[in-house]
Amino acid sequence: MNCKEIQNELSAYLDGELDPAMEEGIESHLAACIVCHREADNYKQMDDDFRRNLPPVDPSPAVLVRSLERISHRAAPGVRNLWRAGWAVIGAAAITILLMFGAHQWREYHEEQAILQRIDSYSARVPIRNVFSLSRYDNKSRDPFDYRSNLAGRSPFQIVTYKGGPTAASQRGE
Amino acid sequence: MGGVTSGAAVKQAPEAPPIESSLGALARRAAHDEQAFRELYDRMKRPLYTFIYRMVGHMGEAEELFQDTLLKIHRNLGRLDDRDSFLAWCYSIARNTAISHLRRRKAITESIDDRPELEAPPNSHEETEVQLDLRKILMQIPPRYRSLFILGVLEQREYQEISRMTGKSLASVKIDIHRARQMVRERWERLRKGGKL
Ligand SMILES: [Zn+2]
Repeated sequence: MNCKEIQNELSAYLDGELDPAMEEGIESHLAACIVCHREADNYKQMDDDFRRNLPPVDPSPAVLVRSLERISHRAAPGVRNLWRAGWAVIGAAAITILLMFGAHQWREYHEEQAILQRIDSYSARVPIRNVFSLSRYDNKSRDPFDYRSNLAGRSPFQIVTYKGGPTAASQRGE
Repeated sequence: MGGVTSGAAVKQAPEAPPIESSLGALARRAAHDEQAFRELYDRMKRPLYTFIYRMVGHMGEAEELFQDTLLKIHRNLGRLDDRDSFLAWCYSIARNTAISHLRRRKAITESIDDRPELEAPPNSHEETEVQLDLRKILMQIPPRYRSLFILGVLEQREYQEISRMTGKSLASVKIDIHRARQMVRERWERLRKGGKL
């Protein structure tokens, strides 16, 4: 193998993904060729640099609580409760949110079908809500599109269940 | 010449524990048992959240997407196939969720601001300058390659497993990880030589 061919295999070599014969071939080349040896060393340093500086992290503990809440309220009849609670005052804003929520559910359903079929290249059917958790996520902007700040950081789902339906806390009798 | 030749070939311990069959059993219980779900969560949170965070480069967004991922996982637990590798299945959901989000973010920032994709907003917690630079490099390569760099280089997962997670052939995983390394290295070298990212 020439240097170019060797260098094309370096990634798999560093990842330990080559068969023994190939690996041996690479190693004897690296022992003799300073150019390829440096190339491999360079990749190795880069890998170490990334691994050392970007260590694994945990989500904040609140994530589990919020997830359990979302899971336990998934089937709650949010829309009825919302109106019963006298939410008409919210007006157009609330209707918009609910429409988005419906579209979100619809999209999620289809997205999941795609996942189940292991279709990797499905088109971007991301939950609509995420559109609004963009780079403006936690700034203090007055942008009317800054949906997240306007709703004090709660998802539309949480708004519906907090105001209308039972919450995890209320079910515990708190 | 020594050095590099001795360090390769053997897979180092991956960040996440290997996929265990007990995880699949726990997952099936978690569909209707909150305690089982909590247990499952404890075992999945670090690898999945770390993966998503590295993909989007922002903690707030990562937590939101992580929650979406958990919801999708939970919703489909009942339909889990015995033969499927549970962790790989979870990763495929996390990866699709993150990539869809990044596409949407790109489309929105382009249409609203009429300018190229914005970098992820800064994180609230303190990061060293090196960490910020490396994260910036990750965010500069296309999400598809970024995910392969994360799985192959940072998480040191076997190509076979990455192939299951991404639905790509082993051959294309191998080629794309090499391509991802090249893309990252180009920027990393520039950074090391004191250039701008
Ligand atoms: Zn050479």
